[in-house]
Amino acid sequence: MSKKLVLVMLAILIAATLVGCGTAKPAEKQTVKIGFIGPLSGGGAAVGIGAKNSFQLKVDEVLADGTYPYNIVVVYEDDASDPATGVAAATKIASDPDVVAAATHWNSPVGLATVDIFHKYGVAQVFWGTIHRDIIYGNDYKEPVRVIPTSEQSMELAAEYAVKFDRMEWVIINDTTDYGTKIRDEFTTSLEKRGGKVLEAIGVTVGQQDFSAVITRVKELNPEGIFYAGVTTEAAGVRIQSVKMGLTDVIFMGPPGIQSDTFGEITQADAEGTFVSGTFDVNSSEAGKAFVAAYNAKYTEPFEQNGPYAYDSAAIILEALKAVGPDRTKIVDYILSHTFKGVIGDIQWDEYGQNGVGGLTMYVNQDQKWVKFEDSEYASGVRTFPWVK
Amino acid sequence: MNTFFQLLISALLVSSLYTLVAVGFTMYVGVINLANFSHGDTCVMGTFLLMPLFLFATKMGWMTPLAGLVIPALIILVILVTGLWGAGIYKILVKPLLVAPRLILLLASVAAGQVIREAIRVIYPNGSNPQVFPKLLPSGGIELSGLTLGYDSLTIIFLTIACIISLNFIIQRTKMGLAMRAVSQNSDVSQIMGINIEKTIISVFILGSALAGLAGILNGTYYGIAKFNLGSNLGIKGFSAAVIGGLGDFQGAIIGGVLLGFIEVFASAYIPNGSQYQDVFSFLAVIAFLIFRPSGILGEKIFEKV
Repeated sequence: MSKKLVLVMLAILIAATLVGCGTAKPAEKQTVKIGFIGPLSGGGAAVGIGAKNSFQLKVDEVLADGTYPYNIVVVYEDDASDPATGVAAATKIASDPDVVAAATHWNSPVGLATVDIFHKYGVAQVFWGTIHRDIIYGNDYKEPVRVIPTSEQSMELAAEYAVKFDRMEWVIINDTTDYGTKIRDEFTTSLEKRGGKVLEAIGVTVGQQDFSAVITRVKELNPEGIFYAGVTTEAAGVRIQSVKMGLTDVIFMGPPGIQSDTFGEITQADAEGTFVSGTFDVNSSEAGKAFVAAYNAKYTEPFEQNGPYAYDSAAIILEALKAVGPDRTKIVDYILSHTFKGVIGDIQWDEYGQNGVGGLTMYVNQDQKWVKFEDSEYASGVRTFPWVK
Repeated sequence: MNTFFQLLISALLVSSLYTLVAVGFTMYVGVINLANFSHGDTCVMGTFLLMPLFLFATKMGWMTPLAGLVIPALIILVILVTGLWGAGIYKILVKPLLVAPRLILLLASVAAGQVIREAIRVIYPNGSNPQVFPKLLPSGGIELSGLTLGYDSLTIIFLTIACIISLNFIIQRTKMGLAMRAVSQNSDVSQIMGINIEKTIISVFILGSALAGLAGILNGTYYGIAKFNLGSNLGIKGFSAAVIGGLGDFQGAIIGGVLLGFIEVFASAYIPNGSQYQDVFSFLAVIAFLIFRPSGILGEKIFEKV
């Protein structure tokens, strides 16, 4: 081949490359997947769907102006409040190499079952629900962080109110899940620390329908308060049946697990004056109110108690992804080493990845809705508690 | 003492609900030797049929002046529909499989139950979530020295007893009942004697499913909560009660239902930490019966001829 020919070919090649440069489209945005797992069916579906919508709302908001450097695909999986289903969902998400982080779970037993999976795959797991202490403190993993406060913090508040209302003798009815027994123990500790007394703790099972024997026993013990350590459906059953059996002069309180509008819907008038030591009150801040407005403009299902936490989980994941790119390890490190501004306030992890603040709030049921106690007609004296002797 | 009587009332109530399910269950076994595992889900079908009807009646404004008439009418309507469903199940599912081994039919009944359950979950608005069941029975009750006798409990116990008496009348005193008893003893001979086997079996399905509908409504109204997946638990409890009493025996099912209710309530009350194991106690009783008296309390001993 002559030197001349080589030169000509080279020239053509360079020219072609240059022409190519001129007409090439700007580089396509890379598509990145993030995961969301929650109870989208079963007894906890209302909470799960509220959280899912809130999560999607934040993703849509961030992507709206088109400046976000990645295309985001959210992979939604259902854990049905069941650890086995949750493990399958977590494995499916974590084993997908395109998924860089996930926001997960409402139920503590499910969370306890899946932390190991996300750890194994090195995927950041941001909890928008669950309040069992061991999910964060029971391991030395860097992957799980939790936006929502722990059950310990929540039960401290419950015990404070028990003292405030001067109700020192309680009976705890707990479901036998990890969640129920943990809440039982923590409420007992918090109450006894303040000089209160738990007369007896009675276990029931999730799915149980008849509580007559339990309530008969409670009547015999004659407590000043009943604390139901469990979730909505059984709590509603216990409440309905205890009112039916004449236990109306006793204060009734529950953990965040019963802070669903479903409680009021099922128990109706019997819900009046019951308490839940619950989570963040959206109406306490401007950011919260803005969230409510944006949410209600888009969805008809209520966002339930975990909506704001799911919304903030999306913000955390997207901020980390934007800062360090789609690298699982870097995202895990970024999340754990930064503080975030969320709708629930400043999100700041302790060394284990537990958020400290989060607006724990005491709610009272007023006309079948959970109302912040300070804002309720009970606090202002318009109404008197049904249980005041 | 007071506590004991309170528990007694609770036990009677739980027993009533179990008995209603068990009686239906045992009828299928008695007449065509089939453990119909869709029975519990048929109960839940009754529960979920009543709710929209009740809402509709409330919306139409029929409830305020005529509640005393409308509620029984709605209950009867639901019972009729579930009864028809029973007839449908027979025509579609049971009749074609009647000559097949019973195991096949049993599996088909499990599938039918699953169909009902998932249909409720999918069709009913927000069906996966627990629903509020309307209060159909008068609230409040009689207070007797610390004892609470709810009007609703009393109504349910009374209704159950009435059902059992009329069912017993049908089985013992009517021509149809005679046919049922004959078919249950020997269907081939009954046929030779001129009994219409198909009519007999279909009436068992109608009666059984209608009873299930009523059981579902009463269960819903007492506990105030309706869940789409309650059927499996109700079905298993009804089955257990029937096993304890003697599968296929009408009186046995009543005794079994009562016994199961009493075991559950009293074991949860008097055994420390018993409440969380109440299902364990009732199933232990079932196992004990299966080992020591497999034919149940009233069931006949079966001798196999070699």
